[in-house]
Amino acid sequence: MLHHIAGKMGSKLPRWVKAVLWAGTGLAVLVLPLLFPSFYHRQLLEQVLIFALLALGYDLLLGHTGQFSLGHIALFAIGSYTTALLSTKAGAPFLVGLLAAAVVTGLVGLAIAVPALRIKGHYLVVLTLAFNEIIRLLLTNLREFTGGSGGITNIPSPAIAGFSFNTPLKRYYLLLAFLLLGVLVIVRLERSRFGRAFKAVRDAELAADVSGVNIARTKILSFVISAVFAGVAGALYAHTFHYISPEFFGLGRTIILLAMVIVGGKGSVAGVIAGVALLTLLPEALRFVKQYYMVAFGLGVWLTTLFLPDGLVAIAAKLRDRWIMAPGARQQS
Amino acid sequence: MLQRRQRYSLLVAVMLVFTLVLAGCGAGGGGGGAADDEIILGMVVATTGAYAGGEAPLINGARLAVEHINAEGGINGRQVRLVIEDTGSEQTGAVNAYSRIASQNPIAILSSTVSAFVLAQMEQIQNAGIPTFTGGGAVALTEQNNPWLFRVRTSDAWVPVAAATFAVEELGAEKIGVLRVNDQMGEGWEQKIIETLAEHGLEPVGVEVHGADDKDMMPQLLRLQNAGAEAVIVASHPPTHVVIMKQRKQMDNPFDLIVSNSAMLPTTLELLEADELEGVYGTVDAVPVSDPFSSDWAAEYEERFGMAADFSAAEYYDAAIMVAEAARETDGSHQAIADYLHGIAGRKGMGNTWTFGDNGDGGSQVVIVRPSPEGLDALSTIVIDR
Amino acid sequence: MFAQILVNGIAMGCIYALVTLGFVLVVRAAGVVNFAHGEMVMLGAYLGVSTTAALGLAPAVGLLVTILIMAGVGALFQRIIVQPLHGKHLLTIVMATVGISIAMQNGATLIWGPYPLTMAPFFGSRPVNLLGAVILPHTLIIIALTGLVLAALHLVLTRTGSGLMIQASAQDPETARLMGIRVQRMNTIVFATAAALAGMAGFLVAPLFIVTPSIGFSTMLKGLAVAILGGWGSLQGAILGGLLFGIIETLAAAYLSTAYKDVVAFAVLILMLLVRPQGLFPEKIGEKV
Repeated sequence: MLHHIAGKMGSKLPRWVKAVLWAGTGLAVLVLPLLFPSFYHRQLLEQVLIFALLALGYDLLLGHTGQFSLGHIALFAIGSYTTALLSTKAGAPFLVGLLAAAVVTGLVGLAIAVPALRIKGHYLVVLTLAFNEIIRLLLTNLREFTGGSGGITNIPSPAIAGFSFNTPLKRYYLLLAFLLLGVLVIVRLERSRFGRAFKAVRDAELAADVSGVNIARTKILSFVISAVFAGVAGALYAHTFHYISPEFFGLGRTIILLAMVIVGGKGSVAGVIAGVALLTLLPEALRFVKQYYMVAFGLGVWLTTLFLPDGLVAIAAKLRDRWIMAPGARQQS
Repeated sequence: MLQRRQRYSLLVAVMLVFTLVLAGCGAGGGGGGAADDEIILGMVVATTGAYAGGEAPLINGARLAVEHINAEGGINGRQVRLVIEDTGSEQTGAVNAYSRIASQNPIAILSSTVSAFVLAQMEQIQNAGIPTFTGGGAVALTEQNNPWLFRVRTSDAWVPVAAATFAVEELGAEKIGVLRVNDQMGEGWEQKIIETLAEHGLEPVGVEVHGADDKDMMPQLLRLQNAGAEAVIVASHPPTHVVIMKQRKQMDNPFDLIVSNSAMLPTTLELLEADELEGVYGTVDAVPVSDPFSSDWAAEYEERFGMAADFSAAEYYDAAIMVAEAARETDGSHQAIADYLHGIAGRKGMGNTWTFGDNGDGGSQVVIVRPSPEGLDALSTIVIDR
Repeated sequence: MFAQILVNGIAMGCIYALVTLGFVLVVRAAGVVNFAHGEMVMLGAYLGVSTTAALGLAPAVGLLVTILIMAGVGALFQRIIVQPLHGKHLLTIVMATVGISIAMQNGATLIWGPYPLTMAPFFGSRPVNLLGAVILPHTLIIIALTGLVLAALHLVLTRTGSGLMIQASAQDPETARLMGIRVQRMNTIVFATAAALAGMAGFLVAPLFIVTPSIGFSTMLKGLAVAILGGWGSLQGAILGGLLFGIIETLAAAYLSTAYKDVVAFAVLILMLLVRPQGLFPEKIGEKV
């Protein structure tokens, strides 16, 4: 599998360079939490991993299939609440709750996909925004069922076969495993005929229709898969942070999720992960600016769109072209 | 074509992440920490965002306490330094801010008054083992069996009860309405009010809810008026409190109001005229300005910060002072301080009468007040026997 | 009670109409979905507080000053933020406006402080009795001013040369350019007008409620809903949709359960999108692909 991906890396680079870079990345990712032993840093890494999984699923919908949905945080919430309720009220084990979250959220994704078939562009935006708000309001108002505004406390840590992931360090590797699984799914999809169908729907729906792509099935698949990602990420979030409340799943978070994907580079796995990392860590890194930091953050987001309209991913391409490529082999991007 | 670029840039992306995490560390996360001759008092509140206005007095109270503590020679010869981390008025920010402060090993942490944030921080409060204070009112906070959490506030188990009891017994109202915000605090108040009224054989004539962002309160007020309410108990936040009182006056004040604590903060009262405050009563934990025990302290506060001392600033002041006292009286370790705090009972402070007991729920005082643009007039002070 | 609620509903409807009209003008003329539009409303409200309270100007003067400043802000916004991103992907432009929106909201907190502020209503806070409804004079002023402004705008757009040029460059920028119309200048004017309308709405609504940095965001959402309701890109849809929305929202809050009114509102919106996505008052213009 890895060989398969590495082979596609582009014959432009010498093989040894590629091998070193891959090994280096792998090592860095595995060793990261050991280099940063404080609870604070490890918790930040947990946030990055969970949101990366969420954002990858969202990018499938937004970047690959071109469906402009702003309702993804509602799906994230449904995943969180499903597993939180099952584990705190019914004592369900982690994997059961996780599976339930994936299934329930996937079904909800299916339910949204159907009306979304006929609706495009700004209409879809408002539809999904409205859906997001309804879910949040229902979670707040259906007190007996969901715990209301107070949320759900004491959600247990993930546990598999009796082994409890009760420290940030242990959870890091669990979350990393899930993220890698997610990346693998996305990469395989990209390469498959489904991936081509997604892009066809995004770029030229009419042409796709004419060339035999089943538009409806493609859109539905995209919605459902991205919903499953959101459900799993939501479940992982609940078990990692042990507390969820409706206020967390509001429109502010939707905007941040959108920014993570756009600023990072939509349609690109690496870009999305970079975007998640940047937008999670940047507010922390900017703490020294104190009360100006949100202004700086907003301006930063704007400047990114100005200088890197294709996202952070564009930096990598430029770097590669300038420094690593032999002069004769440089690509015209 | 694009795919090769993507695969490749994964590496650069990871390097970027690496650099950023280092940057975050360098900006003071893992670094920082006390010099040998000083003690850090941590504080995790909103200095930006929607809650910044409400939590600013807390910072004042803490600062004044640190000044007093240091003026008396600090704690065992070491000066105290206040370090504040911003929650950004947002749950993830609150969680990260707490971790960040905890990693600097402060002697204690003054955390947020937003109960949802403290609930989100609960795991870390448990793990870090650092005495943590909160001004949050939600009953759930002290039901978590967390030996490190101390509430410096009278909880929502008591304040709405006092409000409802006042309405029935002092105002003699039988037709009582409820108007509350759709969040945890509002929910808690509604439940307690209904319980208290039931004990008096009454039911509310109407329960109206509003969203936190809702601006127009006319529909709710008109419905309560139609239901014949004589008094309405309001549990909400400052912006909505102000709108409620202004719009009630446009209706010619058809009923009295008993408003929750945040309406009685000086920055809220500033926005109201005398005729908008007619027939308005409020609940607070204390009135530092008029209580002879604290009036000197309140005068010093006003001179120092240019605004009247309110109960929340006083409560955070008390928290810091109690920590200093605990540290001086014991070996100063986190456990010893926590044990000392749990042992405090019936102690009169600037902002409340403190009895922490086993579950750390410290506040036991409620004052019913008559507000005017100049300040608060304390009508009755209730000290709950716990 | 009904008359009172109706008048209040119409006044809120006027505010929504002003806000949405500006939003839709920009969508229609420049093809931009400006997520920072709500912050223009917030800015107008804060300027209202500053001009009347801090500077002590008479409300009418304060309103004029606010409108002029906001027009300037709108023009600057177009030049600095929108123009450089011309031709980029829709999402990129949306993200830029989102970033600016965050910066503006927090910038307002830095300038005006985190505490809520108030503004005195025009002609005082003593309500008058009109046909059994107890109404603030200010509410009537809102309705009157909105009517005037909309009428004036309609005249400008349909009767004057500049107005026709704006319409031309909105409907077909390429042809407009060929005919010598300076499309970019038209865009600047459109953004300035939109910001002025939003700022005016903020100024007018501030005395009724409370001014905080977050009022922009919630206004933005409602504006989006009204734009859909009235018909995306339709100017008359924005106005009529706004009025309808204001009246229905106020009526629903008064007569239905207040806890679920938002859920009902969103459900109605979703229903609308599924059943009649082109809105209630669609205009026949070519869809900008």
